[in-house]
Amino acid sequence: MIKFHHIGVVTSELQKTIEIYKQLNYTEALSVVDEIQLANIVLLKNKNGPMVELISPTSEDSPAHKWIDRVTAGPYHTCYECDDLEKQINLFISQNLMVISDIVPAIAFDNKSVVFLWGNHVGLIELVEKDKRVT
Amino acid sequence: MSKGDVMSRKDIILKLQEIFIKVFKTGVTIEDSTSAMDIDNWDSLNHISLLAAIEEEFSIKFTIKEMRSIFKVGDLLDIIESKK
Repeated sequence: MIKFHHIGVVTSELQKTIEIYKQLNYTEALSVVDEIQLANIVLLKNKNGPMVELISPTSEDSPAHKWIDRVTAGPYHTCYECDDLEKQINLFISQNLMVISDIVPAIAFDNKSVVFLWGNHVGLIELVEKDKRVT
Repeated sequence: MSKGDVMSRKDIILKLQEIFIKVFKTGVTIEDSTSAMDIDNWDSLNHISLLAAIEEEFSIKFTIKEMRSIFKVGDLLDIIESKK
């Protein structure tokens, strides 16, 4: 089973972006520093809308930093939660998506396993495994 | 070319040329030494789009290790050639 998990939004001005989402009735659910993604992460929740993950790169080496140049600020990935990461990865590969990251723990999501894939017909997709955690 | 035929390096570069035009939206002529230094739009995000287009067109899959080893057209040609 696979279901929508969150929208990833990149920003270089974290507080300004948070204030705008607060106007949209979002509240901060979590704020962490992700040393793997080299970014400050803030999860925003709204009972009437999808969860938003704000990603603000702390280094030019952050995978998200390149998106700052491209979109300045805004949505750049959608994330889906699946029961079996390997199975879903293989399904996406069969649909011409490309795995572009290692499987790593997501600090903001209780160290659950995540991976990023790219498809020229769909853009950037993150997968998070429902129960499996990377230690 | 029928299915199962081995592609020559020349065939590969001709096909790559079309993919480069499509991805980078520029008419640059590519050769082994062509790199991101030679094509304005060849940034890290378009690099991913390029690799995805190559995977689809050539029906191959890059490993993450291979992706990280590609810096110029010659690197792409070597990998594609080894898989066709």
